[in-house]
Amino acid sequence: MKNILKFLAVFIAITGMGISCTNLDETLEDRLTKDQVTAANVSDLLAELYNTLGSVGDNITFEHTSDDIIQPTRGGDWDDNGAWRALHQHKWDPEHSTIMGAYQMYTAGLFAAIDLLQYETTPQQEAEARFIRAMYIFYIVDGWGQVPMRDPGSALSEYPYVMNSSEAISYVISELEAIVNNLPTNEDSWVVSQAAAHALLAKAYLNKDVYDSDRQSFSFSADNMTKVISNCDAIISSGNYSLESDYFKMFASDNENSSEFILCVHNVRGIRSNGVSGRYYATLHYNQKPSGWNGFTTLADFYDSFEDGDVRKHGEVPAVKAASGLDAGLLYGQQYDETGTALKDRAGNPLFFTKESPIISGGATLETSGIRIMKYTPDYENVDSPDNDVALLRYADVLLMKAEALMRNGDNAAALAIVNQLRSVRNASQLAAINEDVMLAERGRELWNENWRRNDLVRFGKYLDAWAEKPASDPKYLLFPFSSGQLASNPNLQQNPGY
Amino acid sequence: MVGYSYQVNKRWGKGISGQDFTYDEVDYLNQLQAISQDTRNIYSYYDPESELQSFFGRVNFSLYDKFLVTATMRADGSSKFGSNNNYGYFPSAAVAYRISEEAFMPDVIDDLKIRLGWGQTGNQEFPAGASQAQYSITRDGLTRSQFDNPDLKWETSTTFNVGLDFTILDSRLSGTLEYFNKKTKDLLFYAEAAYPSPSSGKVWTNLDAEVLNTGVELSLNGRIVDTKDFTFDLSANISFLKNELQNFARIVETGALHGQGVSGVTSQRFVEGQPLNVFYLLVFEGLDGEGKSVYQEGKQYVGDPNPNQILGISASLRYKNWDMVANFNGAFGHQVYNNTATSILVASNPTKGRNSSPLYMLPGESPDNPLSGSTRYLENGDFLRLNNLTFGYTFKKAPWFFDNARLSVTGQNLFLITDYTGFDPEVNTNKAVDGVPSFGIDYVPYPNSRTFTFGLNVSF
Repeated sequence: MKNILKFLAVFIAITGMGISCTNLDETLEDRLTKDQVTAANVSDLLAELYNTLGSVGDNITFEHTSDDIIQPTRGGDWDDNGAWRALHQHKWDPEHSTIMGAYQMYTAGLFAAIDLLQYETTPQQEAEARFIRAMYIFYIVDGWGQVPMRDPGSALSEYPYVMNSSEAISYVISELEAIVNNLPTNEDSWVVSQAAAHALLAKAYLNKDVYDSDRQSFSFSADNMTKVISNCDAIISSGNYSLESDYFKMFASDNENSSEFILCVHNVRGIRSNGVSGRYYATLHYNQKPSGWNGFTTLADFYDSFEDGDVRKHGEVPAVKAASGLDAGLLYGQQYDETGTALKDRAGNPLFFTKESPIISGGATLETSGIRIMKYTPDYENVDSPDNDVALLRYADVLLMKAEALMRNGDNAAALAIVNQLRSVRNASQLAAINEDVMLAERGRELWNENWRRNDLVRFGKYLDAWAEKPASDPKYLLFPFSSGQLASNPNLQQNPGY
Repeated sequence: MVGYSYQVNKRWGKGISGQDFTYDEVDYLNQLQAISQDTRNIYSYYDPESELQSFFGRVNFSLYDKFLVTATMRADGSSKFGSNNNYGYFPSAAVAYRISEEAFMPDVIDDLKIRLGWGQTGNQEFPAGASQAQYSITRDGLTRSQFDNPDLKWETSTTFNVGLDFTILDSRLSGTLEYFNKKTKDLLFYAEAAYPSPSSGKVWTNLDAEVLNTGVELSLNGRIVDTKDFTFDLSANISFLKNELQNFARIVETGALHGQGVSGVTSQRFVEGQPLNVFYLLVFEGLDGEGKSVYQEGKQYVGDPNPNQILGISASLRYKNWDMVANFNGAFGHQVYNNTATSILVASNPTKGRNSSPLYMLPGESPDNPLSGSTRYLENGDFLRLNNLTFGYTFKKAPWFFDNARLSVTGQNLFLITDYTGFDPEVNTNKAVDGVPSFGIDYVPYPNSRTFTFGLNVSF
């Protein structure tokens, strides 16, 4: 025992002396730590905050859980253990990787905005960051119904506090109303502007009654709808935006500063494309140009909701047609290459995209089932890193939001006039009357594959309905679940009901 | 005995690449300005340096030659941890009681010892810089890439073991029986951060969870024949192992399967109450009338890649100048996931002009059968391998001017007894997800080779 005590005494003495050998300080050599970031770096932080929006434009979760896209399994391809079926049929569990990924992506954007706001900013920088923060909160409350929040500069060890659905949407509105006047009025469409704030305010007021409820039974308050209208009017009366006469030009590689873009993701050919090439790779067949992954299709019912001649159903981008023979829009029927030769699938069958898209494809139409969705067309100058900008908030949506709010406040005539104004630009026949079903269908035709479909279906009370290859779903699927990892790392977060 | 050690790790690099150089006569690095700008690519990185300094000491003493005591103490300091927790202190102590020294023990027992040990060790395996806030410098600006975690501290394993060593029958038979219990806490884990967080979504943290490893090891060494011309030694050891993850409040997926049709599909989990890397898969029930797979609803915990038993056998024989050594090893009670079969040797291959294997195509299977990760490809990983076999001849009187001479031939990996259908069940293709390790997945591995070595050893 004496030996042990002696040993410990010597040991402690040496340890005490030894600490001075090196004090174990750590420096980060090729990156900065928090103390090194100052107000001078805020413009750099803001540039990267804008870059986070690229992932929003590329997100597929809100479309694949809706009635305008389906991903069939094709033999050995695209089964992915039923992950796509789970999305389409509303059977996901809390560990569904697509949903977890989307939640991570939105909250990472939210974090980038929060982090920037701990530094000293100019009033416009602050307004831009607060807008983007509000936008992420909007997406998260829309999908998950609860929003975990941190204050600028908070430490990891502080558990994020959680805003419920109602608190979150009120916060979005109060934030946007506080900063709108500090935003620029007429900028490139990838810079947050006053119009962007008004457009997001319109979205927020339009959905507020839904988020204030259990999302199953709600009614739209006249005050909120009036706010939708006044925010839309602020954009319309600015005169800075107008409907594009060429619908698919708006999504082609030369769509920079489209007159309909209120806020977009700015992609630059060869430098930054934020995965927009996936939009066409995912849907094109292997034997098309560029050789695709033969994945995403739309549903027959959605295709049939368009009348012939509606330019949003089918069109052409001349440069695309010349380079590959590809049409724009919903690709139905026989496909051709740029020389006009009819294409075949890998088994030698005609490459004829069928109307029906069974969720498990097979037989002669294994590779060819389903109408393809070609909204963002390929940029043949650089198919892997294209120049197409991606719309986040669009003028046609503003018009339709105003029309919907008018309709919900009982002014069907004014609503119909706006919808018909849009339809005439899109070469669609004039409607005689308007109601909820017509309004929802019009939003679908105008905004397909622009990440609003789930939001619209929920607001119109149709999200749980049965549609092709999907039975009616349980109300719990109105909200996405939180993964076990999130519940474990934040005790303030409660799993959504039913999961 | 006391000691001090110091270690520093640095890792940095810079690179430049380009294409379409015009003049081969001039060093490419001296004409970088002339190549097209699109093909130029440059990068640089410099990871944070990590320093590790340790102070350690040990004392041994014995009482009446019967009780042997060893005590050690370490203080390990690492720059990687948060400033609050650079140092970890790791003591250990062991006592042994040599019962054979007692007068009452019969002579047939040469040596008999009971050992009792307890000790702690620390782990600091994670990237330097993990405890600090980090802002990455990008082409467009600056982005917060990591949370700070100043509370990051040493992961500690506490091991308790009790063992019995014996030697009997004039040292003809000896052996060890040992039980161990190792509990690891403050697990260092690249875990999901509480969102909102930087875009990696992860942070190195100490999890409030434990890994419990327990096991029994038995080894026996016997000299079965011991004459002047002929000796035969046989030794065998077997370990019975069990591991379990405890108090783990989350579910972490890993073991990403590879191939078309299984994008994003994972096969393993870290989850409370299950072994590490437990297989979590769809349960395959057979084919339906159309030749398509039928599964039970939902994934299930269906297997364990960690062997329950590990066996080693070694035999050595010597007859006059001839000798022979054989080593066998084996592992039992675990499963291997055959991702090669899931994704490469599939039923649709013949329709695409590729080969498949009858091993992996079921009778009546449709070429349209969707690919899925499932128990169809989870196989028993039991094996016994003849790892090594050596024959040798030692010259009693070396010829010519040599003092000694020996001829030998050695074969490695000579045979493998297993039901596993892939190349080799001793396989571990890295299928980690976000740095969470996988274990026991086979995906187009390079097969173990069989080696023959002929040897001539001489000395002058």
